[in-house]
Amino acid sequence: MNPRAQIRVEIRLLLRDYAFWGLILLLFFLMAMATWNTHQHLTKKELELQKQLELVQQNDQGLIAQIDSLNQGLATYEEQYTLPTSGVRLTYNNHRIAWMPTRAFALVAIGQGDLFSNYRKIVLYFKDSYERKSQELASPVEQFFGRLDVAFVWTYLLPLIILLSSFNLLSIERETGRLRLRAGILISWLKNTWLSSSISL
Amino acid sequence: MILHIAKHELSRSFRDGHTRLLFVLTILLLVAAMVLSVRDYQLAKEQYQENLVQSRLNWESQTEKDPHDAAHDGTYAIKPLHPLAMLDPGIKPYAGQVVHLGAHQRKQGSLNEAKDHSELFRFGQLTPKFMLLYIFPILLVFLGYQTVTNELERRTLSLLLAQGTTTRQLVLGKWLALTLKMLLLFMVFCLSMILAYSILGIATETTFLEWFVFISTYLIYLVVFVNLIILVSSWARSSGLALVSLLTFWILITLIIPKLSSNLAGRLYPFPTLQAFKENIYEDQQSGLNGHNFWNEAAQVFQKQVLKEYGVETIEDLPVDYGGLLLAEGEKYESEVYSKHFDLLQAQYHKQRNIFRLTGLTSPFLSVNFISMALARTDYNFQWHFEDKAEEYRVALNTALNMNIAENAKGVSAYKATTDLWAQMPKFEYEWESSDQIIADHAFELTIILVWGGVSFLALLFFSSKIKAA
Repeated sequence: MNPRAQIRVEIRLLLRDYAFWGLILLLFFLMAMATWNTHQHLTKKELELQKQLELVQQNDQGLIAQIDSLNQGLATYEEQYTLPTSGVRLTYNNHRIAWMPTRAFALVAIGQGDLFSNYRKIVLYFKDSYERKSQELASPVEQFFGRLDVAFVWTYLLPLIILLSSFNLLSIERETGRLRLRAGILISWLKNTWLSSSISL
Repeated sequence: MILHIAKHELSRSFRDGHTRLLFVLTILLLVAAMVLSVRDYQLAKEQYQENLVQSRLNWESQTEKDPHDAAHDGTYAIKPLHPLAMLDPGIKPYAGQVVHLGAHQRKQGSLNEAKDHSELFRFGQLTPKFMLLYIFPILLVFLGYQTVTNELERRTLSLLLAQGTTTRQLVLGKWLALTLKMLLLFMVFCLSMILAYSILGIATETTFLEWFVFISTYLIYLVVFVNLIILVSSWARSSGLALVSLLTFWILITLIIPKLSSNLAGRLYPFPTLQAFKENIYEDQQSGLNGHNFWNEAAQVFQKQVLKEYGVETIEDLPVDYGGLLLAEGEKYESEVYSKHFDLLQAQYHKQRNIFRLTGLTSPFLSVNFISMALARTDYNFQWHFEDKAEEYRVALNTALNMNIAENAKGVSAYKATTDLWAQMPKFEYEWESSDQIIADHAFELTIILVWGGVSFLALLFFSSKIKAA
């Protein structure tokens, strides 16, 4: 049997293997779940960031209105620190946001993304501890088990499928006695079996 | 006959260099895990004691100041460490270790260990729990996957059956041999655990019931694996197929199902975004009392109520400082608002937990994990229990400080409390949730483990009679 025919045989054998198809289906299911899950995670982060940016915009508009009222003599401020032009007041109420843009590869792995938010508030003084760290409000149980992402599926399931499809590629030749037959013909068993098995895999 | 087969299987296994090597490697890993855990526990315990002393010292060494200023500066509740946490750190690295107890606000625990580490931390830590949940099962797979298939492949099964051995006797003999191997490993774990706890002198800090349930749960989990390994080995037509099937099963049970369950729970019952959570609290606070706002509607109602209670016409006629009363009442209201929203968050987690319970039917790993974390007080329920107790203490402390203002600041300009007031305030003392309560709360998970053990053994008995020699 020439190597090309051998490849065809190996592929046919693989396609007839129910366990192989079962794992392929599981792989597709998990890949779809992982991609959707990562996409949802990134969307949630983006929405949170947008909200924060809108909040900054609203605060700025409010500040402009206050300064305008002050300029027109429509408002008075008894304390110096409450003046809308005061530096302390500005950094307290009108913070800025520094954020990391989402990269295309973020869809592959969530990594530490569930522990940290992708933005940080630039504030002089903080009202509470949540703002300071800009952390996610997440269940630590979810963080403990980790997120399902594409990287996880590739790391754990793909090697398993390769293992399943190849664990007996050569040993079965020996166990069934076919190896002796192959050695008896002129074509090298290595070229014949190993090469074809690898290609079909 | 069963004993004879088991004895033969054991002697054959231990003659094999691979088995001995696997045992030695696993024991070395187990010892390393135990040593690392003892070191981590000692460090964490020292840190806990140091933080406890330091936070109280900071509180008591405050200078003369307005008690409400002291309330704003606040103090800290430090999360304690249960002795079983040495074996199972659970969600501890992902949950806050310290809660700041200040005025007006309930805060979540901060200082999460996971944030101080690199991404490699997410691969997991080498702990005794990791060994029991991941490594022991995979070792059992390697030790037992070919235990029955070998008889088929070497054509010795026909000989055994011809000699009058039944397939059930054969399977039970093999099962007994693998169980004994598992027990040998488990004994090593127990011995190293006894040694570690004796060195630290903390064995008696855990009740007998906690030890019993903790050890039994892991033991049944490993028995489930033994049952399944023998079952698959009896069913598979070749050792290779048995190995791959068992590896698939191991990956599904320990890695894929837990992750899928966690993501499913998070998707079905998501936590609100921080922004939404804060907005909801803010909205509720606006309509109620605020200790610093004398003029809103709620403050006016409270003022009338106080005047009526004391039978006076104006604030000036009150025998106490009205500001202190308002602060105390405002604190109470704010705490109620926080409790409402934190309870909603907690309720959301309980819904997530129900998902874990249901998916636990497909993976005993989940149930064991939750029981183990609960007994080690490293689960999310413990985190909530601790934070709720810290909140109770925060409200009591702030009320005491605000009432000190009410009682002493009347007619005093810029009242400042003397330094001995700080030491008079009681310390925060946390009491563990009772083990009976925890076990009762995890009755469903315990039942799942027992069902897995029972059903897998019955399946083994049932399929053992179906084995054919050819």
